[in-house]
Amino acid sequence: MPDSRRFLHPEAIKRLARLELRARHIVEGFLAGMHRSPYYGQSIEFLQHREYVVGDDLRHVDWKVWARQDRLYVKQYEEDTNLRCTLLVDVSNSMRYGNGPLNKYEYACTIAGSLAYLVLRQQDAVGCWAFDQTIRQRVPGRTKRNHLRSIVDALAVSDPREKTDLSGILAMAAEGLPRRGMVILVSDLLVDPEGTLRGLKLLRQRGHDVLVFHVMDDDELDFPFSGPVRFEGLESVEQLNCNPRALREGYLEVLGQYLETIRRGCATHRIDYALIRTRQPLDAALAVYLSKRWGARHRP
Amino acid sequence: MGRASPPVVFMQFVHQPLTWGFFLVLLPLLIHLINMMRHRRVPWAAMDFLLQAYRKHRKWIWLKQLLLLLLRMAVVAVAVAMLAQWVTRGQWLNLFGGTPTHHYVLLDDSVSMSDRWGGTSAFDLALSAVQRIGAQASSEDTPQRFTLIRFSRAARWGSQAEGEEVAAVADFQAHVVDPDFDVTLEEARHGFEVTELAVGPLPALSVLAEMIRESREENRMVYLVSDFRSAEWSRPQEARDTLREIEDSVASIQLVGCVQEMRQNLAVVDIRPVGDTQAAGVPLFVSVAVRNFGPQTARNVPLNVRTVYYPPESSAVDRPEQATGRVDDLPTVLIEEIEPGQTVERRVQVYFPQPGRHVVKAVLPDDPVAADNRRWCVLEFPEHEPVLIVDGSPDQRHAYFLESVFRPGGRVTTGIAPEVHSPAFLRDVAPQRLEDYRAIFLLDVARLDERAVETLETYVSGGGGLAFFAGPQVDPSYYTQRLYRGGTGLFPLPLEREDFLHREDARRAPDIEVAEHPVFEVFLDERNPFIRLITVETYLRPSLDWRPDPDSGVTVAASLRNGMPLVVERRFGEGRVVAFLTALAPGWNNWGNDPSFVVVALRLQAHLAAGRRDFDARSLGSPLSVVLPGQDYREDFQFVVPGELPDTRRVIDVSASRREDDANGMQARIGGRLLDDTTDRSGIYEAWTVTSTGQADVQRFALNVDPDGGDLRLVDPAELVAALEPVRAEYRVAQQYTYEQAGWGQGQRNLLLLILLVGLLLGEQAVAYSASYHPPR
Repeated sequence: MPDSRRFLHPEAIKRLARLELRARHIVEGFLAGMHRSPYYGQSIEFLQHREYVVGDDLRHVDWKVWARQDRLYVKQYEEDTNLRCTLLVDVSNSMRYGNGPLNKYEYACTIAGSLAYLVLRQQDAVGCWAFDQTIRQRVPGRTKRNHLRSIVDALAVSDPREKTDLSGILAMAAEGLPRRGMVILVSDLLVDPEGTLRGLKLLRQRGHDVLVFHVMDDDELDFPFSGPVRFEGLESVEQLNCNPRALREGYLEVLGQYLETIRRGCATHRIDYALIRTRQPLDAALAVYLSKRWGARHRP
Repeated sequence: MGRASPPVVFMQFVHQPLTWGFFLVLLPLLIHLINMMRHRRVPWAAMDFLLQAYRKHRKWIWLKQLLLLLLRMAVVAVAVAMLAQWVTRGQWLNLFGGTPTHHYVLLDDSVSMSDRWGGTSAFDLALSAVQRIGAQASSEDTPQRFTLIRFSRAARWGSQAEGEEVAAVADFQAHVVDPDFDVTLEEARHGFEVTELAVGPLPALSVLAEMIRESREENRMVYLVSDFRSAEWSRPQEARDTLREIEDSVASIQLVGCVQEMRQNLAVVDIRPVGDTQAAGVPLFVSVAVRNFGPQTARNVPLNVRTVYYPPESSAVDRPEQATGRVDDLPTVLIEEIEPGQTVERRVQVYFPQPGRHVVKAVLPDDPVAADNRRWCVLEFPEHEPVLIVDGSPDQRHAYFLESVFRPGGRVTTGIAPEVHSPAFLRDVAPQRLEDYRAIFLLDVARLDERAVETLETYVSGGGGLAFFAGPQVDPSYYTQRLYRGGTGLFPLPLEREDFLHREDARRAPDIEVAEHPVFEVFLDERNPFIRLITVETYLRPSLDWRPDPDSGVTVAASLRNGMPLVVERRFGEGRVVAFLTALAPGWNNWGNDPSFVVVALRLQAHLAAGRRDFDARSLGSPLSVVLPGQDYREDFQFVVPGELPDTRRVIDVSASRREDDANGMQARIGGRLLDDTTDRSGIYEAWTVTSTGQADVQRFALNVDPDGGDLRLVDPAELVAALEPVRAEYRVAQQYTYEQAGWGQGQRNLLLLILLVGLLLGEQAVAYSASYHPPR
C-alpha cells in the first residue's frame, strides 16, 4: 500500500472534522499516490484534423497546416468542460447506522465531497441533491472552485431523520436534470429494489451516465452479532429479540439475494455499481468514478 | 385381615434432602428468561432482511431453543439424581434398556443331602443359601425372576413324565421377585424335604438347558446348590457338556457347596436270600451287606435283622392299613470291623412257617445319613417248589435216588415237591405247564422229541433251570447234533463217546475235582471230604481237545482227575443248564450212595431254581406297577405305602386300566411321574386286590435307597471347577454364601446415570452448536 493511502482510511479521515478538508485531503492524497496521472491536461488534448466545411468556427482552423499545405483543416479536441455531474446523496435515517469510524451518512458525505472536489478540479460542473423522503437540499451544478463550499454546506446541514423514497427522488432527478450528464447516487439502497432500479432505469433513459455507490456498513454485510440482541428498526417501529447467530445464515442469504438483484439490475441497465463498505478506504469511490469517467471519454 | 400391600414407589433416593436440588432444573429456564431481558439494543437499518430471515426460520429456531432448554434442565435433573443416589424399581431401569435378572437355582435334594451334623444338615444349609439368594434378589431394584429346580423333580421329568411341560418341573418357574418374595420363599421352604433318591445333577441341568432354550432375553445366573459327592460327580464331563450348551447365555454359574467334610456313614447296601430253596417251613439264609462309606474304620457295628411274618389270615381285615404281620427280631449280628470302603456280608437264617410274601428288614444304628441305615426285602415263600424229574431209564431208577433226596419222608421237609415223568411227558406237555416247575431234571434220557426240545429251550431261556444227567441210554451223537447244535442248543458241550476212568491213577487223587461253583463250593473246604470218596467209572466225554470258550458262558463246575469235564454249566437265555456227564444212579459211579450226593442234589436244585425265584429289587422313585389277569381280579386296587412319619402307612385307591398289549391283562400303577412322588419313600409297599371270588390278594414290594446313595465322599472343589473347564464356574461355600451383587444395582444405576448425563451434555452441546450458541470461530 502506498504511504499516501494510509491517510485515506476512515480512521484517518475521521480525524478531519471539516468535510471540505476531508475532500481535499482525499483527492490530493489519491492523486499523489498514482504513478501517472492520465487526467492532467486532458481537456485540451488534440484529437484529430478534419477538412474545413462551411460553417465551422474559424477559431479552430489550423493555420499552420494552411500555411504549409494551402488547405483548410480544423483541429478537433476532446470536449473538456461539458460534464455535468449531479450527486444524489441519501441522508435518510437508515444512513445513521454505523459501527465503524464513520457511519454510512458520514461516509456517503465524504464520498460526495471528494467526488465534488475532484470534479471541480477538472473544471467540470457539479451539483448535489441531499434527500430522504424528499429533497432536503439541492445545490445546482457549477464549475467554480468555491462551489465545493456550497455542496459541503448542503450535506452538512442534512441531519438524517426520515425514511427513504428513492424511487420518487430518482424520478424527480430524471425530470429535474434536463441536460444529459453524470448522476452519482450515494445510498444504502435499503428500499424496495424494484423501485430503485425503475428510477435508475429512468435516468438512463434520459441519457444520463449513472454511478451507484452502494454504501453498506460492515455489520450489515457480515452480521457479526452474538448474544441476545434486540434489533430496532431505524426507519420503522419494528423490533426483534433474537439470538443473532441463529439468524445470521438466514439474514445473509436474504441479503445476498437482495444484493444480487441490485447488481443484476444495474448491469442490465448499464449502470455502474459499486458496493462500498464503510471500513473500506475512501479512494475506492474515486477510483470507480475516474474509471467511469475515463471509459466515458473513450466510449465510441 | 390381610397385610396391606406396600405402596408402589417408583423413585427413591438414598440422600433424600438432596432431592431439593431438583428445583435447580428451573435454573436454565430462569437464565433463559434473564437473558431475554438483558439483551443488547441495536438500532438496525436492514430490518426487512432480518425480519424476512426470522419469519423463514422461526419454527426451527424455537424448536432448537426449546430442546436446548429441556436438555439443560434434564442435565441438572440427572446430576441431582446421581448426587442423591437414585434407587428405583425396575420399571424405570427398563427405560434405559435394563434386562431382567433370572436366578436359576438347582437344588440338590438327593439322599446324601440328608447328611446331618451338629443340629443341622446339608439340606438345611442348602435351603438357607437358597433363602439368601431369594432375599437378596427381592432387595434388588432391577427386575428379578426366580426359578427353583429340585433334582428329584427333574429326574422324574426326564425319566417318566413324558408329555409334561418342562415348566412344570420347577417349584418356582420364572417367579417375579417382588419385595415380599423372601416371605414367599420362606413359606415354600417348609414344603421342601430332602428325598431318599440318589439323583445326580444331570437331569436338573438338562431341565435348565431346556428352560433356557425356551426363555427370552434375560440376564441369567445359575446356582447349583449341592453337596458335590463323588458318586454324583463321577463323570463331570457330562455336566460340563450340558453347561457348555448354556454357558453363552448365562452370566454366572455358581457352585454352592453345602458340605465341606466327609462324615462317617454306614449303609445296608443289600439284603437278599441266599440261593437255597425258598419254601414255607424251610429255613432260609438271607444275606445282608453293610458298607462303610465313611473315612474311618467302623467297629462293633450292631446289625439288627427283623422279620415280619404275614399269616394267611392277616389279609382278612376291613381296611388294608389295619393288616399287620408278626414281627420277630432276630439276634443282633455284631460286625466287628468294617474298613473304609469295605462291604461286609452277614447271613441270618429266617423261617416262615406258612406260605406268603414275608418281609425281612435290616437296621443299622443311626448315623449322619439315616435313610440308608435300613433296608427291606420281600421274600415270597410258596408252599413248596415243584420240580420235574424226567427219567429215561425203563425202571426210573435214577429218579428214585433224586426223589429220595427231595422228599426224604418223615418230618423232614426240603420244600421241594418232585414230579417224576417219562420222556413222553415232555412231548405232550404245554410250555405254560412247565412254567410251574422251578427246575427240570433229565435223567438218562436217550433222545427228545423235537417239540420237547423246543419246549425245553423256551423254558430255560425264560429263566428256568435244567439239569442233564448222563446214563447208558444217552446217545452222545444225538446230544451233540441236536441238543448242542454247534453251541446254539441247550447242551453245554459236544459229546464224543462213552469212556472209562482208569483206576491205576486212583491212588494219587480223588476222581472228582470241584471248582468254585455254587453247587460245589461247599466241598472246597478241606473239612468236607465226602466228595473225595466218590468213584467214577464211566462217563461221557467230549473230544480230548475240547475247552470251554470263555465268551460262551460255559463253565466247568467239576472235572475228573484225568482232566475231562464232569459237570459243565452254560447260560441259556435267562436260565441255566447243568450237565452231569455221568449217571445219577449207581452203576457208572457210586455217587448216589454217597452223602455228598444229597448236598449236591439240593444245592443243584436251589441253583437251578434261582432263576425262577422272583427277588424283586426295585429302585426308589421308579413306578410301582402291578399287572394281573383281568378276568380273575376286580379293577379297584388299593396301595398301602409308607407314610410321611416313621412306621405309618397310608392307603391310595387306584383304578386299574386295561393293558394295551394284553386284552385280558389289567394294570395299576403308582409313582414315577412328575406329579406323583408316591414311590419316593423307602419301605414296604403293598398292592391289595380282590379276586373275582372275593378273596383278598396282597402283593408286597420293597423299595430301598440306592446302595450308592450313602456314599459321602466329596469331590474336591478345585478339581471340580477344573473338570468343568472351559465352563467358568465358581465354587462357593454355602455357609459363607453372600450375594455379591448387592451393590451391583447401585453401581449399574450410577453408571447408567453417568452415561445418560454424558449423553445429555453431548446432546446439549450439539443442539447449542446447531442453534449457534457457540462463539464464532
